[in-house]
Amino acid sequence: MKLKITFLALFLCLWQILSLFFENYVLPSPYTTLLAIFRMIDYNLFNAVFVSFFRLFLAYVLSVMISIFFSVFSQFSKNIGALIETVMSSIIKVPNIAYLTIFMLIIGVGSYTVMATIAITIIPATTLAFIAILKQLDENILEVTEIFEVIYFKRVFYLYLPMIFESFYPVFQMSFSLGFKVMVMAEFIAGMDGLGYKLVEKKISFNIDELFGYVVIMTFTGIFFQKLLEVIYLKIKDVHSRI
Amino acid sequence: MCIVEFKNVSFKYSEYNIIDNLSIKFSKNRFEGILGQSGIGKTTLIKLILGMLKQDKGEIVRNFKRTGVMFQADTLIENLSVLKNMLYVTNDKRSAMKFLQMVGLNDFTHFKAKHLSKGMKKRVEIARALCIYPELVVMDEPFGNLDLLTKINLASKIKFHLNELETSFIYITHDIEEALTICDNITVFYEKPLNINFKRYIDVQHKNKSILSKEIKEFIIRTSNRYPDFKSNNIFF
Repeated sequence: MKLKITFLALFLCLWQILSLFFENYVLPSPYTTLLAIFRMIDYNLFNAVFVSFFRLFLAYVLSVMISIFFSVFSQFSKNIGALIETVMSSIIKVPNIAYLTIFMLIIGVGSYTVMATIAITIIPATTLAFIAILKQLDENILEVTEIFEVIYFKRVFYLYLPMIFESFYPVFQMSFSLGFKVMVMAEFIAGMDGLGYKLVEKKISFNIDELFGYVVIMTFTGIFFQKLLEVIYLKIKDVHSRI
Repeated sequence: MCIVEFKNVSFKYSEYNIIDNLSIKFSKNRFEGILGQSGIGKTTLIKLILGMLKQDKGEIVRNFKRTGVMFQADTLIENLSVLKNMLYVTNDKRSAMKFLQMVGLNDFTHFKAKHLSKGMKKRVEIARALCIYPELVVMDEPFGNLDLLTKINLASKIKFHLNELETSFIYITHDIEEALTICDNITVFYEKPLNINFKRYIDVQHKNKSILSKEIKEFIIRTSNRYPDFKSNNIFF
């Protein structure tokens, strides 16, 4: 914790020093940015934060559920597993901006496009991560499962889902921040509201200190929501392990 | 009547001969032991018995449908309770409870597998293997990490219920003393590729008996003296 605070202080010092060399409309100082943040605290700010994170949360939960379905279904047979892995590996290689463009053409600008872009980014990444987790299942247990002819339904609920749940934490850390970044990008290009869209507004009105203010707010709210979800997940895991 | 019969079976991994022209029978409702040093192909043999591998030549006659299995490695799902581990392989809760009682673990049904000792895990595995009422249970060095006393205790629990269960057992080990203590019949594999079988307590089927290593011969004689039950059987070398 001490180290993190030290790095933050060093970063702020560096930012302050750099801002001395530039005009305020190019690089506002941390103090100017802080003043801008206080100035911005009103309904619009909270609305933007709420809209963005509601989208992210909804798209994220939906994406994780779809990923769990695909990863569990990939265990049904080797061929299905290979097919799902190939498709997901192909999807993940395409730049997000390409999907965003396609969704803008098909759906138009707005919430659905943003959520669809988040989903198409998260689904292949988490599916491949979950498949990698399931590949670590003990071979002996799998052999026993085969020999006892355990039905697929039981394998899902006794073996695959608990395994995914147990190892979900690192996948969550990776995929949530990925989803957050994509959300801001998608809102910036195809949003009608939300934090990403606020950046566009501030850019057009050349309100650079408030633009920096939104970047700071995004950073802190992003960290806050990630920590909040982490705490919820760890609590559930703790309760689950005690049952 | 035999539970499994190998008729001139051969098996290769790539070009490497693991089993060559093996013919062997395993009797029904007996505790059949397979003894052989590590790496000789015992596990391949059980995979063939269970149909997890397909032989290249010959025929395997399987007179069973349901199979239970126990491996040396722990194969319980660690985060599930003992009862759920049982219900993973059977839908019959009564049967699960009956066999947990048989191995003395009926008070531990809600314990997670990861919280059990090694011996207790093996007892759960025994119960799990039996709760589906299998015609055959294959045990591949199941008590490998346990001390001999625990091994004997566990094996005697199974043998005690052998008649009631009408189940045949194939018990694989590299430990001669363990095989002598636990099994009714022992087949010794001592040369690779596996093409020789040596029914120690029933009769010696192999023509060239002299190739059985001196150490094994001495050990069998020495150990047989310590186990009078086996003395009544003829030992030929």
